[in-house]
Amino acid sequence: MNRDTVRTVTAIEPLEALAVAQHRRLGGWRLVQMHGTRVDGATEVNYAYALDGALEILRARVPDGTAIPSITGIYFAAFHYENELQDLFGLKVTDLAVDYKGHFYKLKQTTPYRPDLGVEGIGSVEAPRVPMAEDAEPAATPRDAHGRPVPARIAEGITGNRTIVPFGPQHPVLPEPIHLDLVLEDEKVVEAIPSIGFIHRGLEKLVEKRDFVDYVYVAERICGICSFMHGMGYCLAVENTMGIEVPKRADYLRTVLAEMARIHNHTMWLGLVADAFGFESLFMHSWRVREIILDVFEEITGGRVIFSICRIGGLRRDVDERQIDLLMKALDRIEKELEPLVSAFTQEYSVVHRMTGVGVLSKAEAYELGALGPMLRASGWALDTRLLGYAAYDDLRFAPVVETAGDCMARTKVRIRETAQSIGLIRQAVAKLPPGEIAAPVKGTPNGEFMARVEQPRGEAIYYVRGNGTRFLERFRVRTPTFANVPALVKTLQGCQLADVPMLVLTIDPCISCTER
Amino acid sequence: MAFLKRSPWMIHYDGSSCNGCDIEVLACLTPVYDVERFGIVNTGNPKHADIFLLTGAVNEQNREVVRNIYDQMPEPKVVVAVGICATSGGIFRECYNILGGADKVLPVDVYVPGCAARPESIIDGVVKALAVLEEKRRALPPRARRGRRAEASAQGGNA
Ligand code: SF4
Repeated sequence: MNRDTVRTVTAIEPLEALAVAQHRRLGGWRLVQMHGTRVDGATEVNYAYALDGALEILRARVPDGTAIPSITGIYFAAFHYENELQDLFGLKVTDLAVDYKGHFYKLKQTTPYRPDLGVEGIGSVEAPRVPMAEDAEPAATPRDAHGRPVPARIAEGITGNRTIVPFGPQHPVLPEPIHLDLVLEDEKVVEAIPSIGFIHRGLEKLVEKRDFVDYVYVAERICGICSFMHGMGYCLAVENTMGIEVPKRADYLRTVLAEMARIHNHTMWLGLVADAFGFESLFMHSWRVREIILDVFEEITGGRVIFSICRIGGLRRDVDERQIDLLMKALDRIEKELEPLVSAFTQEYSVVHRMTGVGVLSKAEAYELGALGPMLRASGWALDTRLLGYAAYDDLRFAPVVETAGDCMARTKVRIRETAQSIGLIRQAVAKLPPGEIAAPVKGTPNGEFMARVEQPRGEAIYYVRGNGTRFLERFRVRTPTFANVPALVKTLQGCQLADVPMLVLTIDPCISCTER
Repeated sequence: MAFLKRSPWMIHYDGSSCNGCDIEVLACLTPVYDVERFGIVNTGNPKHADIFLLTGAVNEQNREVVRNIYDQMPEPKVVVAVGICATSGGIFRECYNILGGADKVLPVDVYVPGCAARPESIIDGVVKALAVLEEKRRALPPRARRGRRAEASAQGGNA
């Protein structure tokens, strides 16, 4: 069981949120996430803060028709969550630092959690978005003949030498769609305005239609890259809600599979970043190394990217001697084959030149903007959710990988060193692998709530489940690391060169399908 | 025109997928499966592409983007729906923001099932698409059949 987290839930008044945020901020707490839940005729807004192992949820009950104050003045990183609340719950948030006015996502069905609001939702009230336009000089809010703001990307007559360059959603370096409006001054990016929602499927709400046991398969498909960890995170949350004790062997195997997923992710990322700065052979070689681990995945689970091996209570398949043997051989091979690639990444002149000092995120900024995972650790923070000791991490020895430079190079080095760390962790876990059952029986239905935290390759992910004693959960919420890293990305993009944009976008290791769910 | 059949260029776009199929599409191009050795190139530019590999069940916001990419591709062109999401909406079919498959927005020529679609089946799908591409080429008026460049200039690079 997850021993993490001193977890408290406190009820607050909606207006208290500001004062609380101020207080937490001074105490050095991190805003980990915000989400809404519909509870008889009102929306509950949950603010989750974390400090080390402690997790605190503050819950404000907001009656329909009332607005809540934005906390973006205190935690800038909240703008995502609050815009999402506006879009999905039709909840008005006042004084938002970056207000998309109900157009954060373009939805087929407006305010899906408030079907009673009808097609109007909150969206129709205001004109299309031009977020962040206010601070880019007066002329940057161009309006059309009807006085409506014109979308930034088609706006003309931006003052002086400023231009707006659209980036994405379809772009050669982007494996997934995200759109950025880049405000340029000559070659320099002054401002980057993200618009997301190209992958927003709305799978959190699907939990109301799928049995909680079957939902594992949907959870896995939040993202096909960290699919195992998504399945595991969801299972951890449900298991903790129901008080299921997972057998030790399953915990160890989950750890092994999770670390394999990390190796897969990091080697893949190395390739993608090499592609972003135009080093194609390095891209190909990194992906070649990645195939080694995929073969082992296929051998153990039957799938290359979607595994469906995790289930509530443990795992669906055991691992035998031969598979372990294959895994060990694969690890040796990866270690050996990664070596020349690592020296290309860290010593090759053009690569070093391209990445050193680019996109620096200072230690203070990283924390402030709520960055996570390798992004945060590359800026000097030794924060790693695995230290909370879920699955078998409690029994393994490791320390977070930290770099201090905060630039693209540091982020690359963190990921390279983490790959080596994962190899070490798998060896430790396999050496200690206990015999026994691989799954505990599941009896009853979830009743209650839990917020599980898992360290994904990209950083901490949060899985929140809330059951009501039926086979269908009331609410499932996942907050993924990329979602939290976008504010930091926007920050590093400010002041960079246009040519660096693809690389900077890639160094946060964006996973858009996670982000938008 | 035989070159078109032997070394088609493809464009890949993620129409609200989970990523699983997308990395498998990329895996086709990288070592182990490596279709690039046959001259099949993944291009980022729709105007260079013959085959459109679309993954994912397509959501509301992606509808226009997908359409836009398709419209920019020169004739003849084929669309391959990769993965069960793109085929029918798959696991996300009942989600509130999903249109339910690639054929809700585009005329799809080849469906590749699988969740995730395996690289082998994606390659198989592309090979099937080549046959369709050839058929479509034959159906074009003679002038447009000469070659891609002639055709692009004849039609202003747009279909
Ligand atoms: S078919 Fe499966 S693997 Fe492919 S995008 Fe859809 S959910 Fe992901």
